[in-house]
Amino acid sequence: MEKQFMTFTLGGGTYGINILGIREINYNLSATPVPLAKSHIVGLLNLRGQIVTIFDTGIPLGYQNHEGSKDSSLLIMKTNSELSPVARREGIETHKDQVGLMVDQIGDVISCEEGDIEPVPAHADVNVAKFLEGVVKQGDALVGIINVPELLKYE
Amino acid sequence: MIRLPGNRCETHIEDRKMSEFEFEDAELIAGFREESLEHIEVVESNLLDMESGGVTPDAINMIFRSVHTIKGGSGFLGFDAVKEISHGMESLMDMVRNGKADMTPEVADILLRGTDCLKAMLDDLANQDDVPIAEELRILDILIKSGGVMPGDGASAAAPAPAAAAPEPEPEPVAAPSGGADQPAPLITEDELNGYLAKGFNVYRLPFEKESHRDKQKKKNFETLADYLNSFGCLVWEDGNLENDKEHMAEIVFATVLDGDFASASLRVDEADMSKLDKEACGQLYAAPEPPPAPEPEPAPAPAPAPVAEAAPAKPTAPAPAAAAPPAAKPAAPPKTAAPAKARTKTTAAAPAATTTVRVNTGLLNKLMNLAGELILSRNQLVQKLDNKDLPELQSLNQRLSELQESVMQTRLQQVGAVFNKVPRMVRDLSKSLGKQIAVELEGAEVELDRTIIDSITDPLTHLVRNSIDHGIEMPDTRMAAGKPGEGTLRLRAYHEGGQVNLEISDDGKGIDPEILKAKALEKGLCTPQELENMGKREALNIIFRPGFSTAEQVTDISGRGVGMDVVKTSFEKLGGTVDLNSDLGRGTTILVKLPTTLAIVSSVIIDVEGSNFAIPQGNIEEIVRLKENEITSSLEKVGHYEIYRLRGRLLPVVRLSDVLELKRTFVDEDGNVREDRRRNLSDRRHGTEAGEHEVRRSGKDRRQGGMTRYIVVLRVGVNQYGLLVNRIRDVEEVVVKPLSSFIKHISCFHGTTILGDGRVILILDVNGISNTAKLKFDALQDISDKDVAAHAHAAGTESQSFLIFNNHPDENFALPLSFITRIEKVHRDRIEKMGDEELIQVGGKNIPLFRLEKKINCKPIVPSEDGHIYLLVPNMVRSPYAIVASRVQDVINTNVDIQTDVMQTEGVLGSAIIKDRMTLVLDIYGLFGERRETTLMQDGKKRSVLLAEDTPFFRTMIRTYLEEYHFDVVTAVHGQDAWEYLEEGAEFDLILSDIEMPVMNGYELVTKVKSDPRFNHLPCMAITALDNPESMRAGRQAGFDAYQVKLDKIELIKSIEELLSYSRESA
Repeated sequence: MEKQFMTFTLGGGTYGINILGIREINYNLSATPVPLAKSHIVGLLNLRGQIVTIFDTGIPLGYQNHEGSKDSSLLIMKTNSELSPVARREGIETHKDQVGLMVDQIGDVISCEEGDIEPVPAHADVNVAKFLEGVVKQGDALVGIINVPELLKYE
Repeated sequence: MIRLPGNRCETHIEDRKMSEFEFEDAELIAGFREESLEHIEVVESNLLDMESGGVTPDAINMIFRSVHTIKGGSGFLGFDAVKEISHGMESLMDMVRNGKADMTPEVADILLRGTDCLKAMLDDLANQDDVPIAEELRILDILIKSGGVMPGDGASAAAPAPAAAAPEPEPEPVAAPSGGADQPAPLITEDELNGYLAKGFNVYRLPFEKESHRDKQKKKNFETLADYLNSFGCLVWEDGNLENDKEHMAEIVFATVLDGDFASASLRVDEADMSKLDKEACGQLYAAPEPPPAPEPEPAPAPAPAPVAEAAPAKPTAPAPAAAAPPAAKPAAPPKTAAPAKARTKTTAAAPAATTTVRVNTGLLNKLMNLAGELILSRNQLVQKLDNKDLPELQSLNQRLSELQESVMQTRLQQVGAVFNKVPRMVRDLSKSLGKQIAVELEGAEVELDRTIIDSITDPLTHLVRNSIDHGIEMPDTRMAAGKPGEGTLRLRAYHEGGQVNLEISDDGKGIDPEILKAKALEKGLCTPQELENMGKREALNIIFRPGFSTAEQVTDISGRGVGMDVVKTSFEKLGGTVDLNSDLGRGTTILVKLPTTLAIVSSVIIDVEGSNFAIPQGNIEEIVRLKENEITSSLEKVGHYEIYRLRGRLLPVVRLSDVLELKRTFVDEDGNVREDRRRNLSDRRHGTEAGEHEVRRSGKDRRQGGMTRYIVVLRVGVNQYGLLVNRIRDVEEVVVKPLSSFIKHISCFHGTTILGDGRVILILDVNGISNTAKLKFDALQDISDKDVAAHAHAAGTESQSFLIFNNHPDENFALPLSFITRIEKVHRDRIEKMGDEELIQVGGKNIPLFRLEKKINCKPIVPSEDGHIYLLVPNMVRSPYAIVASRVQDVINTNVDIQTDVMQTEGVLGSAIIKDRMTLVLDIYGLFGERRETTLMQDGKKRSVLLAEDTPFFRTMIRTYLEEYHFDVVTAVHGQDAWEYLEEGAEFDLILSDIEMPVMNGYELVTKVKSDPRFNHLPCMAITALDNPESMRAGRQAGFDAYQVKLDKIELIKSIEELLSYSRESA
């Protein structure tokens, strides 16, 4: 079965998220910071009357000190209840709240067969690997496929 | 006797009807009507389903329960006709349910006829008696007696004869579940029991010793023990031995509002023998054909055969009465058609009335609510984009929107009566069982609150009422003895105040003794003795709300109250409300609960702190105080960890929002860049070079932009208040509260989020959360404040000085000017570490050397408090790193006391004073630490003479002592005029030191006079003041002062004097 992933860059790496879990891509970075929140919580964003919590994807993935660039974008995720029946059939999960993932730069949508997804290489950092479902080879590069519900459990 | 559950309940309900309460208000009746119509629908649809699809036990149970509920409600409200017919229907259904009657077409028919009658009655409850039901009752009676079979050919009633074939085979399985039971069925329905559980009843299973209750039963004229039990609770189930005179004991299940100890007392059962049933256990009474395993299985089957045996003969004998029945049934036929006809016309006539209310899914209502909220948001956004904000169209839109919002809100509102009306019943049951006489007064039941709030206050409110009855109101004879009427009064009041709803629960009982609470709190280690000693009455009373204060047993034996009052408090606080308790010993107790009317849309003040905006719900705000730049330093004092603002004589702890939220303090520098301000504390500005540099940079533009004006938002938390220091107040907006996302829910400082008119997301602050995060301890402050106010009032008119009073040894009181102390740390003695002769302690990652008073001055050694804690007074204004050790910090007092300097001539002691009738040593912090400045002043051996003008006795003494230490001759004057007179008299001085703020002639006037007089204009003049802000410094220079010093900084003062004198010497 073919799967499609939205790719993006973060620090030096390329990652992908199944498009079935994504609502939209947004470049609005005027989030309201939340004092006392964990460092990976960038802030709150008003998305057409809905409040979206913006999550710095770089921090759980080990890019502790990276700074958002002007190309920083947001992947606004669907909530669990907004997922399409197709997505549910495929076992996609996100989060119960409105979440936006902040990433460095949005890339292309890639397609691959289920069988093309390989396990995360054994030498990868365990703390990062737990947020990945697997990796997909794109030419020479590896695309880390993000396990969104796991990522959003980061504290 | 056939023991039908219905009969049993009958007595119960009769009793209820006779209750002395009349709360048959319109709302309750409307509720009953709506509910009953629903039940009728259930009955009808089930009957019809059975006709087409066969009989199922489920359907039969549903019908039974519905009819039973109608009967229960009607009996309760006194609608006898409704009760009568529903009772007949219930009895019949009960037989069907128990397999004693078959679900024949006749039965279905009469039930349907019954529902028709009920509908007719419900349409016009006032005239329910007008609906003819005699015929229906007669048929019901026949069917009950005959076991569901219409005697004879049954032609008269059995219209749908063909259908009879289908239901006929079914009765067996129906009968099976309950028929198989060899123990009596519960006496009330499961729904009813669940209803009791929901109301907070406790359900106990217990062995009931009958004899011990006989007296009471007889005395109170109850025919049976069951009646007696039902007078203060509800008998749910019994094993059949209750009315069996041969048995002494009966196993019963009893529902009551009483808690464990009370229940065991009133039922005369050892609490250990009672088992409390939860919802699940209660359900088992119904679910299993066998009632829950009875501890005594033998007696149980004994009564069981009785009903069966008696019911069994009923069947064979049925034909007998049946023979008589048919003739009666036939003539009855015409009225039979007439009655439903009448009922139907009535139904149609009343139809419009029935449609005035529509049942709407709460989900839909919530959505509507959200949409209205969003609409208001969009309106706000639109208004901000418009240039012309006075368009008539816009005004009309505003008006409609407000109405829409209000109407939608109303759909969520519910009358407080929904909770209040449950109270009389509870009071009745509880007072009966306790033998108390209590009248209930309800006021303001029509006040409306958000539905979610109503739902959540039921439990805590019930709790409070229960406490009032249990512990508050005394027994009648005790009351009489105290000169009060034997009947106690419990008052529940709801009213609007300041956009909030207040609920007041008051009783005229014995009140609460704050001393007992204090003792208890001490015993439980909730408060320290010091805390308690200074605790005001109100604070003491509110100890009751502290977590861990009390559980039932402990409170009963101190005769207080407060079963889980902390839970009550938390429940109200969760709703954004507050709770406060007040009590007069012997006269009663009042609990005041303040609640917001709604949770969804809140009028909020938008504030700005360090460039971030937050919303504070207006309901939490008491007032807002504006602080001008020069007031910030002078009006915020430090007491221990807190900053204090004097608000009309009261001490208000001030929390810096920027600190609580860990926001970086910023300011705008000359280039217009926002920079981080590294100062810890605004009041630290008067010393430290770094702060000085900032001050220079901060000049000009940014101050004109109002950067330094601050606001204190005064907030209420329960009985307490605190101030939140913010940079600016921006706006007041109606905001729609949106819940916090799960990622930030744990941050207790925030209550929710919202979107402002300009589209920005901001956080709504949680006033309680902030005070918790800032670790405000109000009791400590409250007491300081109480004493302070007293002292303040006493000293009114003269400038006074704040002293911190503390002990080393309990016999000796010491005082230090508050302004000398940066902070007070409470640490455990065990944490002291020794390094050679030095004692050190780690506080906040720093090693602080300890300074013990007994090592420097002649005083008794320290006696630490029992818990091993000591206090460290960390001084200000000195170079030494030492912290002074104290065993106990007593108080902060504000006084203009005169200090006698000649009594104790010890270095480190400024003098002694009588503070609060006790001899108190006022310490000199520089002397203690032996800080002296090497000076050249004495080099020429000539004594200098100084004229000191200062109105505050303390400062006068202190500065004089400093100067004398450096061998100055000091002449003191109490104000400018006094000083001028010394000069006029021709006394020779080398220097004039003058305070600024003085009565009669202030410092500016004095120096202007001096500098304009050729006789004195060569004299160097120095201003000494508590104020150090650039403005007053500039004013001082303009007036002619040569130098400007802060009073308390001795080293700097001496240094300045030295410079001034050497300068004047050179110029001379």
